[in-house]
Amino acid sequence: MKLGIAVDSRMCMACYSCFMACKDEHCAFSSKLSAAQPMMGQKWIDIREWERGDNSRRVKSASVPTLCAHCQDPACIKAAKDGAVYKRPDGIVIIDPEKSKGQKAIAEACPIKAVFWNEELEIPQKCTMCAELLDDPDYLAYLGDPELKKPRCVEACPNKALIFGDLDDPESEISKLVASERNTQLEPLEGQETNVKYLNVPTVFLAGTVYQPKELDEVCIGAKVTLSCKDTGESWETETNYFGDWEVEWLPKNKSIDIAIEAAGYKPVSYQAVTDIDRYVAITYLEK
Amino acid sequence: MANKIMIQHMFKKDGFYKEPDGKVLKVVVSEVWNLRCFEIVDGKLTGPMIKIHPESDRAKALVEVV
Amino acid sequence: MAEKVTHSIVVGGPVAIHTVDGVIRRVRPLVLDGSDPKGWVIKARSKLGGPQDKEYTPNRKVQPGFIAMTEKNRAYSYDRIRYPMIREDFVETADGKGRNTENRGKSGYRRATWDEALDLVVREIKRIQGTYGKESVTACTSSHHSWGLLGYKLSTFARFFRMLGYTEIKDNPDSWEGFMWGAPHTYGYYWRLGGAEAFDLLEDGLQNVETMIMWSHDPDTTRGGYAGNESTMWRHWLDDMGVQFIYIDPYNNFSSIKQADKWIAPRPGTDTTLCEAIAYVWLTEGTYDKEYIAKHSHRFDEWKDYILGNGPDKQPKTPKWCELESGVPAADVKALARRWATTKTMGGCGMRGGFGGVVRTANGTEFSRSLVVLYAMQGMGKPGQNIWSGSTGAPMDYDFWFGGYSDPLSSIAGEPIADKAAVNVVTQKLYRPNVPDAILDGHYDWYGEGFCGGGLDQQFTEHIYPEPGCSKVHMFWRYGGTFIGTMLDTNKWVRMYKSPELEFVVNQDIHFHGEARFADVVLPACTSLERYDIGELCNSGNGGYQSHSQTGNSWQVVVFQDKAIEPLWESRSDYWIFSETAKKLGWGDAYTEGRSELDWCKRFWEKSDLCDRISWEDFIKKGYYIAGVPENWERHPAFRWFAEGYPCDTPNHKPFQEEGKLGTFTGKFEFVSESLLYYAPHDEARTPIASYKRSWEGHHSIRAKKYPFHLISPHPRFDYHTQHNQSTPWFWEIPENREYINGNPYLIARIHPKKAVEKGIKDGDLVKLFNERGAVICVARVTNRVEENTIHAYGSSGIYNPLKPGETSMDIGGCVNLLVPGRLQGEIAPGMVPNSCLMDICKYEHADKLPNSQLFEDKLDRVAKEADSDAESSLEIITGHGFEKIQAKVRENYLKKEAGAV
Repeated sequence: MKLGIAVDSRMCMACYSCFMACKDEHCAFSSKLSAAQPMMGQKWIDIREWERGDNSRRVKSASVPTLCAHCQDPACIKAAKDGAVYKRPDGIVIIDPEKSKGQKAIAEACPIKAVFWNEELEIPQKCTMCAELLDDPDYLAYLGDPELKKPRCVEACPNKALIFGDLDDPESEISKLVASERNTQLEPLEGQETNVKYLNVPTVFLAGTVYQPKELDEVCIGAKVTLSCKDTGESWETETNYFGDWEVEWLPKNKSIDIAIEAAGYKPVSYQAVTDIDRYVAITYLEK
Repeated sequence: MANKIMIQHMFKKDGFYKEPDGKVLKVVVSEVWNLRCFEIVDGKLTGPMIKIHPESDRAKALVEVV
Repeated sequence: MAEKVTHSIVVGGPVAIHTVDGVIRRVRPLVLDGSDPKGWVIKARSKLGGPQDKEYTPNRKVQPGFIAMTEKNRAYSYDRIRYPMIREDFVETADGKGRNTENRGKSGYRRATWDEALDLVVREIKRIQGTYGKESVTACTSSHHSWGLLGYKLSTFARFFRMLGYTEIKDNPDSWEGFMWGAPHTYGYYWRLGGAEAFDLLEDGLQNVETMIMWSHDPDTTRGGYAGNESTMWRHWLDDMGVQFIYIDPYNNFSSIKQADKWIAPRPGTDTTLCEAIAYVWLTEGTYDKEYIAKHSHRFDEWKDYILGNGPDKQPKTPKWCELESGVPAADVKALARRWATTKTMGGCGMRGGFGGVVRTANGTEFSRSLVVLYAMQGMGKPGQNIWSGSTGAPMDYDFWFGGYSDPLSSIAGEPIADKAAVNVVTQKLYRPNVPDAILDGHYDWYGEGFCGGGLDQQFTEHIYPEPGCSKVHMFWRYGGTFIGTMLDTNKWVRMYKSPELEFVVNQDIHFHGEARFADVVLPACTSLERYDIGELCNSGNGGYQSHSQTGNSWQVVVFQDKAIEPLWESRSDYWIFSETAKKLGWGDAYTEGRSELDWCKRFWEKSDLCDRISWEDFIKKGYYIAGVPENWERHPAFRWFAEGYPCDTPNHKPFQEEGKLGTFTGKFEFVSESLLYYAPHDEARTPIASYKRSWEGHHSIRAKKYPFHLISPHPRFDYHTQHNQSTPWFWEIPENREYINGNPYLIARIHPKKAVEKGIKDGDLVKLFNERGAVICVARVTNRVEENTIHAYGSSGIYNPLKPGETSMDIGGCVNLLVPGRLQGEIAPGMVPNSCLMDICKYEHADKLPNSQLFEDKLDRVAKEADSDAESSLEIITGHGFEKIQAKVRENYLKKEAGAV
């Protein structure tokens, strides 16, 4: 059994239900497995968001609820002494609230900053995947179905952005989701096997709008837009839509992209843009 | 697909209707699908909410009290 | 260590509450079990143009808004009013004068016993009513300060005050002003306070719609009003099947940023030009439903003339004309119009299609009427063509009747719940948005009944205060929540409270909110987790307004709001407070009719269909009842009857249902409004033909030279009204909500990068938002998500911290409503207009002058320590271990009591 959580960034609306559920469960309440989360200052699940787009013409946002990834080969275990951090047979990584006292290195070791240092108690703390609840046979017994026991964040999510289950079971909802969606491991964990699967975290988009000659005040529908990356050899083709807009997602980061716009009866136009950030490339006014 | 029951015409909200046994009912909900009444005793709404199907025999027997 | 699980329903939605040894351990969503009914199944497309063969069904849990998970923290929070309190420098003078009223808001408080506090209240009621008349007492609540039929303001509060006799304060339809005062004059629906019906439109949308126009709409923020996150998945389903979402909003809001295929940002107050230009395109290109219009419109040609430039103003409402006013490129206007005309399009403004910040602007009525007209032109009521904004219209068991909060049948103030209805003998009224004007000026007049569901004529009734022969008001009992963040030009409320006209002020609340700090007597109410109640999710009233609002949920659920814990400290339920006061006034038995709170809850069960579905014992044991939707439920899509010409078959409670007619004078869409011509032919705000008018506080105003920015302050994402932000520090850690700096949680205000550079403002800077009405300190968020000339800061701030408490001074709590105009939409159109506000913004350079606390905590801490020398301070509770200490004490007392009882 390998318990995990799939975080589907595409589905996340940044509603903060998971955030509040986690606070409700862990702030001011300790358990066998962890000391109480302080009232403020720690975000065991942290909605990491960034605004995407350098122009009001096209703005999106990415939301990635970020929690401890419960790595297979955790950096925190490597940084810990005296077995202060351990990985359970079910895959959940736990920081022992007593053995870890004074070990700030555990908090500093986490590549995604999901471990927090509690100044007052002098211990590192993080998400426990609500293991203390999963372990408790009485928790939610009144519902009559052990399958309904989930980590609090997962239970609170209204939009299936968080899915919990057994990664070793190919028929489980989580396994199916991981198999069908884009696996986008967080950059600091690149190459690592983790029990928390980050899915659909966007890379970079380029977008623009094509209008007919300016004086006409008309959008250009169906203009052909071709993107190409010399570096990777990839190319993408799209067409402007009913607003004259074009957009290509999932571009490789930090590359130079050539953009060619063609519409019958007009001079072709080309641009170059760098995908260091999401960009609105240009408003194009075609010329005959 | 039209539901031909026009009960708002037939059973006026806040209207009073008499049953064959002398009971007087006040209509408190009169929507296309819902006809709900309470019995009136000594001028007061009394007892449980009475649900009557607008096409039922019971409904057909109601007489408006003007 | 026995854990008890009970349920309740809060403004965020239904919750399961886990209690251990008399303290609340956790608050979770209501998860369905095996015995609960199956969810509805809608068969619809999986992609546009595809077959209707995919099954859609809700998750087996009821999704509250995220605020619901803070209810435990809110119960034990630092700002709870723990004990009855009396203002330190209040003097009970015999004539009501010389009471240091100018110190209200500044003064501290001393602890009082319940008897002392209520005896004082009763003496004052008797003195004031005896001296001036019954009408000299007034009282009001906030909207939705709680959920549950017993505790709701139209129930417990209403019963008491109607029995007492008082000047009632009429609510204005604050969330949807322009729509209520405007739309009925185009298409009727006044019995739904202007809102369109939405029956079965979720299925219609899933099966048919191709374009969704989300105008001034942020469904994932406004959450169907009271439906939590129940409809979030629905919009994802639409998105995934390829439906195009076009969001129109000066702010790229939290739903838009995730879902918009196109974001259009008109300058605030100019949206009507966009409506008119869209109509211009359709008229000139012939792309509207001519057959439908021929059959269903009234005086269409005159309106057509107006749009095409053949009207008296001779101005064609071209896309270019729109661009010059609104900033939306003419090409984009045309593209939008064509998309709308050539695809099946649904949408609307705000939640339920008839809300949204756009209607709370100076000419919000004209926008609303123009929007309705656009939907009419495309055949409103045909499949995939309707006012439906994606947050209502789920299948529902219409055969199950349980009252909503506005149902007279579901209130302890009336029959059949009470044996004897409470009747207010006083006819004098006040109107909520302008209560301070009435008190300060000693005179106020206005039109309309506030909520005018009984007829179009109700919008035009005339009111004057004081009513001839009546006294002015001298006592104010304020209950639940605070208006400083929600009403208009709210420094007026500060001035009002300090006025000696108000000889006596009572405040009854759970938390020590902004208005509570102005009271002479503060009465501690408890949360709904500490008392009994009963309520249904998102049921605003099946006979009252916006009936069947439960179609905004995936599940129809009635909850027994069990008392999870005993009232904390000396707080009491509102019902207890009013019962005790009634007793001291000599009519306690008449008020209670001998019933306990639990008895009253049982009455609601008894006098509805609930008792036919579940026994009382089973209901309180399970904690909730879910009405399942019958498998092959009868479909009656909204407006389909009108489009196809058969009698209205949707469950409206409209008084008259004539053959296929609307509730307008002519029964048709009135492009020239006959009802306005009849009732208000000289109304400058609502002209017979709805038309774009320049906002009286907009970019053409003279004051724009001094105050160049529009402020928009929509309904908040991170709160519900004003109830949660002050109490729970976790909100202050949400970067898009607030930033906690040195003891104060500053509200985020959003500014465009271009303007930020001009003003020397960087992301994260402290900034001052100001105009002549007031000033507010916020933290700047520099973002491309906001229209260039607009500052966005959420309204309804529950945190009010004036630098000089009791003065109309700068606020660091975020009450941007201090800046908004007090003027209503029109002489005769009494709607409030927070979103037509001009102000300026600058970097705030005096951070060193800002206090390191919220300036009210010490008043509470003092009283707490007076009562219990070991009491934890506010700061300890916010950032330290105060919460644990509170719970430990409560647990200890609980266990002692249990041991003693054994």
